[in-house]
Amino acid sequence: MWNIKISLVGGVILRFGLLMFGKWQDSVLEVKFTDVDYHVFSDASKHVAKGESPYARPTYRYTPLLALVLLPNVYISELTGKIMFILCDLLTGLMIYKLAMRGQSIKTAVLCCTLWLLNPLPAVIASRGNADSIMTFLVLSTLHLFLLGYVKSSAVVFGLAVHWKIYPITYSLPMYLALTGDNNVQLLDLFWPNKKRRELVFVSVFTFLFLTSIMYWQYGYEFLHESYFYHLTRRDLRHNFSPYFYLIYLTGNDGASVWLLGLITFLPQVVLLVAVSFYLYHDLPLCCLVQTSIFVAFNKVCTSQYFLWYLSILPAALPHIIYQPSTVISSLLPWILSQGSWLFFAYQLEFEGQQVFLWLWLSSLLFLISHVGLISDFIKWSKTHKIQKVKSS
Amino acid sequence: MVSFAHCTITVYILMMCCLVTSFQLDTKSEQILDDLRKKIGNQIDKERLVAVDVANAVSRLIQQRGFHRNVTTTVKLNMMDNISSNFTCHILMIDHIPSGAYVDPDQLKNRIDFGGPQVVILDEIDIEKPEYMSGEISIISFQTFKSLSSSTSCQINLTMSFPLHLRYHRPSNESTINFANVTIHPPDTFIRCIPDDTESSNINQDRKLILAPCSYTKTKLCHWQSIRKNEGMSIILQVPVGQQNDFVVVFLGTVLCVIASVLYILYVLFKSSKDIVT
Repeated sequence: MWNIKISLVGGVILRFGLLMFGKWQDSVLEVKFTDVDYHVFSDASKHVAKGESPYARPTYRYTPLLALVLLPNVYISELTGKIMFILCDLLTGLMIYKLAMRGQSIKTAVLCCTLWLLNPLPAVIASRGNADSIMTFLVLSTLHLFLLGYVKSSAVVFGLAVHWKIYPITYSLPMYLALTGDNNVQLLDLFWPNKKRRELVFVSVFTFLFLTSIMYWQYGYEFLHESYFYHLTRRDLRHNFSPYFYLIYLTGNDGASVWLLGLITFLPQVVLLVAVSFYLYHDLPLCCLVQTSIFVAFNKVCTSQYFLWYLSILPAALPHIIYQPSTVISSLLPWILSQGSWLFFAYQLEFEGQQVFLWLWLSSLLFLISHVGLISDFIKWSKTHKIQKVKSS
Repeated sequence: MVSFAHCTITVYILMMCCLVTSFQLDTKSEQILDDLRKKIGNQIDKERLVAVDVANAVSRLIQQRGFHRNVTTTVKLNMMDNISSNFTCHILMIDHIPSGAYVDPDQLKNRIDFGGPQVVILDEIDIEKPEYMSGEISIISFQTFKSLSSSTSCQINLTMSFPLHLRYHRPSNESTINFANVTIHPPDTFIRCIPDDTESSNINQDRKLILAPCSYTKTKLCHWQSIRKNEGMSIILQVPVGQQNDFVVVFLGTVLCVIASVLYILYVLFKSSKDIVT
């Protein structure tokens, strides 16, 4: 009888197998298995071990906590970081199991988490040394604790998650709204700071400020710039999945144009994120899934690395659709095919030197449309789901 | 009687001839070597060198298309004066990479174990910046060629290569121009060959030798033979650029598509909220 233990063991074997394969490939082939970013993290850790700032390593644009967590790379082995990421990835699978259990059978939960644990995509990403598994684990833990009613614990993990990467901050509004008292329908009650809400706000803000202040005290303005400001203001005009990339490339460098462009890219995200918060706060995992997929689809910069941010929430938010594989596949297919068309033109541009910017731009719009189709399917699929109210007593 | 004017003119003519045969270094390369000599100081490695005859100047080939290229440089040695033993040659190559291109330090480091040169990068590189926000990058490549023998052929080819990446350039204002040019100038190249059997050393005194770092570690100076540079050997690479004339279409198309997407999602949200079981 298949149970979670079998899936966990399978997940461990898959990931450690890939880890060993990666070690072999790196020593034998010129094209490396390990992600370039992993070396950036490792180098930053080496600086920290010497008492320097992790930002001495160029292109290190993360919280110093990451460099601290990877100190065993310096003292024990270069592999310990990857092992840590693999562990977080396995824990992500476990969180998917726990979240999928809400109102579903154990069989459903096991199927959902197996979809993650035996999935080569997150396995390869974690064993290559990508740190996103830490984020997926933090986000799912926040949701899990919140839904169990442990608001303060959830708020601490939430504060840590937002410190690590900014994007989960969008969950703050639906989390706040979800903590309604019983049977409140008046507008004032929707916002009234009751006890649970005060706990949520104070604990998460305190955690975030505590972590950020320590890092600022240790590493100064550079920490704030590399960890946060850089990501908010970056103007990356090299081709990427974002529908805005060509527009950004063609826009001048002058202040007015850049400001207007910033507004055009920011407004759709804000409008949708707020609307989703109000419409879907009663089903928090779904709300987070839809919010993050919107954030990624409408962002100024979009790379395939970001997809994992919401794909990890999918089995936790909509466990029942695992029984409708044809629906899921018919929804994912346009999303995959439009990526394929984009990749074709990107290859023509980057490796064949063909001037195909207009075609690449059209592909990025096609991709946005398929992304929007996927997001609206997420919303539609929730109709058959029994909503669980958050324990507010 | 030879007048002062005659002397001056003669001196000038001689100088011109020297310039034409072009052992003259790029002024930037000269500056770089000067700085290195000052930093390293008096640590000079007294090696017994072997003079080699470099046929013509250094030749270069840049392969692939698009934003990622491979720069292959070949030094051809004429093996007419027979050197009895096997020997090892070291090559030092100074390149000034224009703002339109860059090299990736991590990639270069990875290639060393697979036959790539040791490259010393003298300027800061931001691989994400476009051309107009970047500057020139000076690099020094070191490569060693072991167990060379003059008995097998009259010409030995020494080849070194490094990957080069092109940056994004400003969009074009002319609808007929879709590419920007990036010019890669010929490098300043130096060679020093050491016979495995040191008795075979035959370096002639009249060979032009300069002092430069022995290796990428830049701990000692060695005597290097300068190789003639072919001034006309610049290679022009083409990189695709966007079309500024596309702006109106792109702006309208993107904004309309985004607005339609936003409205659609809002519609789906609204519709689904009517069916929620509370």
